[in-house]
Amino acid sequence: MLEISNLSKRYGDVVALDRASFAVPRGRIVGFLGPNGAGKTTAMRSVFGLVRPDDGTITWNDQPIGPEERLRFGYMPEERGLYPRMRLAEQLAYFGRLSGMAKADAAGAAGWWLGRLGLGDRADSRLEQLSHGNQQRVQLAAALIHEPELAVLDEPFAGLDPLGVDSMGALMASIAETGTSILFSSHQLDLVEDVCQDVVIINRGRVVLAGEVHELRSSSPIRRLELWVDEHPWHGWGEGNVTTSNGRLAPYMLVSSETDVSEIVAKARTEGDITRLLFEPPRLSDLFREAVTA
Amino acid sequence: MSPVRQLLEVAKRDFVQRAKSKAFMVTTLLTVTIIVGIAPLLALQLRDDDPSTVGVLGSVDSTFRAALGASSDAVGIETEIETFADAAALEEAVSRGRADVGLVDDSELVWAERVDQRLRVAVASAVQEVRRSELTAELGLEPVEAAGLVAPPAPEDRVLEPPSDDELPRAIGAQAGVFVLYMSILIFGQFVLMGVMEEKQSRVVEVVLSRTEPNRLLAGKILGIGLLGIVQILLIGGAIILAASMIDLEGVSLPSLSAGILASIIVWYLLGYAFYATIYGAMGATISRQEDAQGAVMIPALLIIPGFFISMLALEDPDSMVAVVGSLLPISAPMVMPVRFAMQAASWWEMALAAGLLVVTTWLLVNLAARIYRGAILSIGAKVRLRDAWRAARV
Repeated sequence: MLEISNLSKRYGDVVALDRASFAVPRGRIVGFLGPNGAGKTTAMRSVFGLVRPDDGTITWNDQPIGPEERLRFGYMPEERGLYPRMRLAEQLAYFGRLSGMAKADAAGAAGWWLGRLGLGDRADSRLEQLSHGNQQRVQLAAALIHEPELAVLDEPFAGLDPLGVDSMGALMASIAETGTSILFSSHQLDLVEDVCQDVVIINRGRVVLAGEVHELRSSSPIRRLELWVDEHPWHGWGEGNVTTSNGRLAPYMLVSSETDVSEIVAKARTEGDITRLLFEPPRLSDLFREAVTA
Repeated sequence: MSPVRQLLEVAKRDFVQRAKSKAFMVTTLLTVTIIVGIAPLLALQLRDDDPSTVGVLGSVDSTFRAALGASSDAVGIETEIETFADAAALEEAVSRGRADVGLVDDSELVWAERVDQRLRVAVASAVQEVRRSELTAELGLEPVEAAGLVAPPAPEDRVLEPPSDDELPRAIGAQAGVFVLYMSILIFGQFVLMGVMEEKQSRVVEVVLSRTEPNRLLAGKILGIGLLGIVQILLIGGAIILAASMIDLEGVSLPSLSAGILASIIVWYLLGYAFYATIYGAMGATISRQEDAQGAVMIPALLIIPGFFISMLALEDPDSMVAVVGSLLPISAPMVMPVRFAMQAASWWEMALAAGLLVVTTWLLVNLAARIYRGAILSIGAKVRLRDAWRAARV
């Protein structure tokens, strides 16, 4: 288990992390969510010693993390990069060996991963000859080549189309099943709601919400209510309206979980035919908004 | 996993990838081909021992033949005589190059385009000698008396420190060796700088540094590229020795002489490269764009250039003050000491002192450079100022 406690880091006047604490249990997929600039990358880099925190501790199975421990981790940075002119199989095997794998094991793992990513016939291609999407897949393989106990993936879904998001999510789930802990970051909260089991939501360097996704959503005191009358979103209840960032009203309302829905429905019916009705636990973005405005 | 194994993995990758690059293969192949290809031409140029042909009108008597032989020996050339029936045929032969010079009636020398001074002296003295012996015979003098009269004994030469037979080949070997060494440090130092910069540019450095320490990455890169430098020096050095063996330089055994010089070049390349590659590596970490590379190579280049010039001075006078001091200073020792070694001017303790100073300085520099490297390697984008890099890496 990875445990981060009271991690703080400042860059001049900018506070990147402010006593942030959270954990990544074994075999769990933890979504590390928050807007751009919230401190996600700084926290992830700290795990690999790429950033030296001002304060706080990071432990792996209750032990401080040194170069030896890091060899059991895999890291996919936000700024993607591999050697552009190195051949795929050669490149993956190199990162395997750098993480301590024997030569034959590393070569075998490289071949296996290329096969799994559907790039088996491109083993001798240079990285720069691949499409953007395929480069991203090789990037992931480089992070996981040595079967790490902990995978830290910075924005793994960025730049992927919906099918890409699905296959990346499925890949992460299958890796977690083998016992690998996964910490991944995203600034698109709702996109990854179905991928992660646990979430840590961070804003301005502070952890504002953490826990199991289902638990957080169902135990929340708010509900998302979407009610359309004559094919148009209805906002006539008077409270719970949400203004989106572009200044318009969102097509849904956020109301208390104890709200009597039948009362609202009755009022809406007096204005026309109800064509859509949804009453459900809040999305992660709703929880985030609640947490930071509270 | 041991730090050494990681370092070696990095070194191996840099060695193999750089060796497979077109830039390395083409330049190495081209250099070797040029050196080996140019040698036979050079040998042809130097092998100027075809006898010069002296065209003479009419018949030649044995006195002139003997006199020309003696005077040719005196100026160090070989001559042969060819006779022609008339002046027109002789002139024709000279202008066609079949004769190097034409002697007309003991009074005129005919040349094709320009006067060959040595040949002129040889032919003219032979003519004068023949004329002199005719005159002394007319005067009734004995040849010995005549010789004492017209040519009193000249002072004899006594050279206090005659140069050894192999001084010229030694100087040539030292010059070629130092040039290869100097170019190798510049080229492979820049490979280190480019390698470090490219890892920042492609952002792969973060992936690598999540698995290994900055110092190991820098040291492995310097080692891998440095070994490739040795491979290139061996190839080029071998080509030079091969080329030199085609050119017969006054009978001196070049291969055995060159092997010693080549060995010293490799030792000093290693020491000098380690020193300069460390600087190149630190400078490479401060940039992440090709455009900034020009400026970044300035500092190491400015440091290494004086050493190359001092080595040229040392070639002229390996015992001069500037050569001795230059061969001890760490920034210039790698270029100057091999010259003084090749010219047999350096004592063993001077070499040991220079090597010791260089190793100690390099060790200090490695710590300084590694800190700059650590402080700058992860900041992508604008050029990092050295002072900021130094501060960023404070523990």
